[in-house]
Amino acid sequence: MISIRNASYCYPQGERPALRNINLDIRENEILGIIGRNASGKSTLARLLNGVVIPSTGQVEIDGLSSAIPENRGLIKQKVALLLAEPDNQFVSNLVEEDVAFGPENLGLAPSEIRRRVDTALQMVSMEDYAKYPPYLLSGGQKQRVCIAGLLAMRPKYMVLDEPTAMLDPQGKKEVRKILGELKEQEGLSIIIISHDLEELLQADRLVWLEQGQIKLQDSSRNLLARVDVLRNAGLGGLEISRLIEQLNMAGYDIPSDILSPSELVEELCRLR
Amino acid sequence: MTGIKIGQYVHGDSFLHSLDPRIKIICCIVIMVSVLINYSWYYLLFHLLLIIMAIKASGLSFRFMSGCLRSIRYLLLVTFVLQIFLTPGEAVLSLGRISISQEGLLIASINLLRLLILFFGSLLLIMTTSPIKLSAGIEFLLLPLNKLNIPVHHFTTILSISFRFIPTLIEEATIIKNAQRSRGAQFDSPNLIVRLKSYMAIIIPLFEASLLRAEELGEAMDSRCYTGHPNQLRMSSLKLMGKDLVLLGFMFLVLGIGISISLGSS
Repeated sequence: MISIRNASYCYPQGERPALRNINLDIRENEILGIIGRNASGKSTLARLLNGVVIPSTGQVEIDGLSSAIPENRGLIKQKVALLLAEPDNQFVSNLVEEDVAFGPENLGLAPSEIRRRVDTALQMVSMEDYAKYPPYLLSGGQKQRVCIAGLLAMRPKYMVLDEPTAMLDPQGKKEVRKILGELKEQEGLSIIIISHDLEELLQADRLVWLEQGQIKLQDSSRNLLARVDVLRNAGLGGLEISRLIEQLNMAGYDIPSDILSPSELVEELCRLR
Repeated sequence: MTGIKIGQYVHGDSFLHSLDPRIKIICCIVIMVSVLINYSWYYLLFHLLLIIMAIKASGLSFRFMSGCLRSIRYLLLVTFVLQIFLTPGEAVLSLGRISISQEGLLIASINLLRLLILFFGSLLLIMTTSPIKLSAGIEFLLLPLNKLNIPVHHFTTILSISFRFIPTLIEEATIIKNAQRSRGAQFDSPNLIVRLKSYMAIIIPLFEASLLRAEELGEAMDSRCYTGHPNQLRMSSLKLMGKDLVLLGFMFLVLGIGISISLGSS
């Protein structure tokens, strides 16, 4: 479990804290979504989780390992993988399999074990046929899948994804979302997604809304995604289906606002007849 | 595989791809020394023949390789023109005060040949050796410098990442160039100053974008447990084979012949 207690962080040149008094537990095999406006502290929180950023006050513990202790940081980075938005900025090699091998090589594993992990990770994201390709010949979605493979090869327990589909086209978004769902179901990973894309957050079990470096609200994703007013305040606007329900209710219908899928809405509308 | 860019590694199973990177680097250096110390036409043509055979053995297409010459066409042209006009000697053609000498033609042709050999030799090295293997090879060859406290591992990491970022930055430069052109930058202006100013409008945002990329890459590497310490355990360990040693022996023999020709002619 990742446990954050009273954590605050201020950047060296920052005028005000980027994070203030954060208390959060992230359980195993959970998908946690983090929402909020730009500069609300989402990316800082992501970096706090894997030890890239150390809280100025408070504590972050990953499976009992405190990120404040320098000796723990290597193990923390191995346990908590961090994926950034722009895949091109994460590649270190011009060959897919060499890039995926970068993490396991840094862990000092034997070459045969590195090879095994690289092959398995590429299979997990269905990119094994592209092992010998240079990344610049891949599409955005394929590149991000290779980046995910690079993290999976380190066998993490938690994956922090900082706007993983922000730079991708609709097809690329679809590919990455599918992989994330599979990772939770099949590998039992805990996934923390920072996103402005509500469709992506439908996969989450729980959502946390950050505002000016503080947790303003946390609830199950079903409850929070249905609240168009909260999502508007968080700068996200609400799901299309929730907005449609809002309009229908304003026109005099009485449709439950926690409906999040078109099939459920169709069922509800048929019941009204 | 389409969309291959000049100077970028192209994966393959050819003879050249299978060679140890350390041997390829040494052979490349041997070729450079050989062609730079020797003026013999036969010797240089022999090297050109070796390069042609190496292209064949690399599996890269001759059409693609000859197309790469476009990128150095101005360098070749300027070198050739300066040599033929500025080398004193017996004039074969005079245009007023400017004359082309026989010696100038000879030296210009030899230097052109040398440049071609050096260009294709280095291109073959980087296009048949993946950046990680190339940096592993360079790191191994520079290991003695570690004793002088020179951070060889950092240097080779920087080198391999620079190779990796060439296509990304080319793409970024093209995007910025098109954006600036749409905002009125005149890259084709007959006025040199205007042209230079237009190019400055590419360089500054490109530099800024590169710094941002570097920052994010550093974060990504840190997250993947990179510590900056040398790691000798790589997925594909360097292994010397019989063919590597045979090639190395052959190249040193060629170098020896070159040195003796050079000494004999001086």
